[in-house]
Amino acid sequence: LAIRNETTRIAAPKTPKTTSNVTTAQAIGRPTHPSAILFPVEASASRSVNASAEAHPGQGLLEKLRGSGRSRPVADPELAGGLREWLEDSLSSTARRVPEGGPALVIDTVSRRRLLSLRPRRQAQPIEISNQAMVQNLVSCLFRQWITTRSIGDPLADAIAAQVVSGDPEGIVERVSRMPAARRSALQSELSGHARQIASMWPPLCASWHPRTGEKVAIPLCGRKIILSATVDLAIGPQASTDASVCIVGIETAPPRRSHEIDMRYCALVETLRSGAPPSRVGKFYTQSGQFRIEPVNEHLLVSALLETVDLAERLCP
Amino acid sequence: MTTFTMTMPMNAPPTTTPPPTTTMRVALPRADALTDVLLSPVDQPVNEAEFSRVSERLTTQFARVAPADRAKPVRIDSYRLELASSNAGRLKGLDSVFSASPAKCRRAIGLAAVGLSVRDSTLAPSRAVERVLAESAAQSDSGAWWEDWYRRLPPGARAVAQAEAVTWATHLFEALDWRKFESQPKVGGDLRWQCQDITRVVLHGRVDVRAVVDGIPVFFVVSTGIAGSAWTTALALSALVAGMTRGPGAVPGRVVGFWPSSGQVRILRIDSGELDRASRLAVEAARILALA
Repeated sequence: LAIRNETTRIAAPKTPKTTSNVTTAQAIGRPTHPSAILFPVEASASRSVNASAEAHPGQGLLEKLRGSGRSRPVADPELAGGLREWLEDSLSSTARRVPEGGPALVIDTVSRRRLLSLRPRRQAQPIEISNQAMVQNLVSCLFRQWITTRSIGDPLADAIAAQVVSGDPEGIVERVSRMPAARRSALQSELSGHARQIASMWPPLCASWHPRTGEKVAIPLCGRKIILSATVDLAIGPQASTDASVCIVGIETAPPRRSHEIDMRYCALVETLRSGAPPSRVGKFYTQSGQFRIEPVNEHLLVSALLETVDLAERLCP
Repeated sequence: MTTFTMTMPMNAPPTTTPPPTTTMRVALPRADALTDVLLSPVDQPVNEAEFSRVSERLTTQFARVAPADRAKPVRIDSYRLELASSNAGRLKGLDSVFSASPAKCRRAIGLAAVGLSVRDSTLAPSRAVERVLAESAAQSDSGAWWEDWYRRLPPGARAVAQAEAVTWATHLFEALDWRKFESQPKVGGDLRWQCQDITRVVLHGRVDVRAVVDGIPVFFVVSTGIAGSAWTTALALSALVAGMTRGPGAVPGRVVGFWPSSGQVRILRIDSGELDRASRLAVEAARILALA
């Protein structure tokens, strides 16, 4: 696959050298976001992030992510167990409809968004995904690369190399290689735009926050008949002790949609079940606009996610 | 509340029935509780005579299944052992050609990184991974199997390998409270048994952290995905290989398994029954692979 190197290398923006979240937050000195659960995306949220980006690129984003200036929610050790029992009870009738000895009902991003068939994906048969899903996939690679290495060279070449080394389960590499030059050039430009937005908005993350990318979560329920699956684009924060300390972020290449809110809540739920404590915050970063939605995680949010998940499982396995 | 599953000591003769399990509940932070479980006193080490019987029977049966004059070796690891138990059909079709990938090298890089972080508590796992990779780029012959592969990768692919290693290393580093170890634990150090004069079977036991409690070894093993139905034999394999390689004194009293993706923790007390079950399944896996 020959890819022209049309873009200039994307370099990290100049950011303050401090890597402590406390210092960063204090340096901004702005009040934290209101207690409303969701940021209004089009109005204040994007403006505030962009405004702070003018002063210190990306620091407003970190402030929102860490929620400086207010105490983090207490991690209730009973909550995860209670949610799990509730889920197991609610899903028991659905689980009975999953054939004994057959493949588990996997609830993942694909099934949640598209309500696809229950047939398991065969690795040898790449499924044709939409253009938007392809771009999302490639931008996810670039986001991961940026968070990990602080460097992106040629966005298309880097994303394709990431797909190749990961086995290209969705046939993206071949698909791009078949593209006419004009279409590939358009894709190159599109990816460059997303990469620039990521680079300008995401400052270096302090290593002591333990940032990790592409974190896979798989929660078996009802004797492994139902599996809640997710891949978290970015998780930061050490494991919870008395306070909820983990923040999880997903990236989106498309404009904000209602399904993204469901996605955020779902990720909060599976992280709670996985780690035994709810995350402190869950967010979405929009790589086209630079908008950042952040939602503090509370019991209300987790119960909503639980009910949505039960409903989805019932629809997937009628 | 997190649920741990613990297998109870087995005094009954070896059977193919899984051992009974009980659950116990622990408080947050999980690393604290998990380390306490790992380092809690071990009742008694495995009986030497019983282990010798398991060892002799295993070697004899391996010799029948894959004799020393066989051309290709038969490799048994925890993954193959689980397949032998749950999906023998897939075991037959398993590709024996190894190809490196970020998913396969993350553990090797991650273990090297966690080793650094444990020795230097100020070094976060992501920085430790950076250091490991930088050193591998600077040295051409440090001996790690993944280095040549990694060096040949373009930047986008290298980033995936690094990101995978960071995530893996962070999971292991966060899983335990390293301050609770009285002496520094050994990070990594997989076990490999082969007896080429008798059989071409190679046993591979994964160990991510090794500590000693009252003179008895204990193992900590990080696994991917979800704990399968054959998790007991998969964990017991590490103990079995330790004994086959270094003698009964090296058999751990306990193996703690951790599945970061699902948050599952499984605690297996090692006795001759567990070792026997693992050895029977290893012979079955070797038989299937030898015929494939």
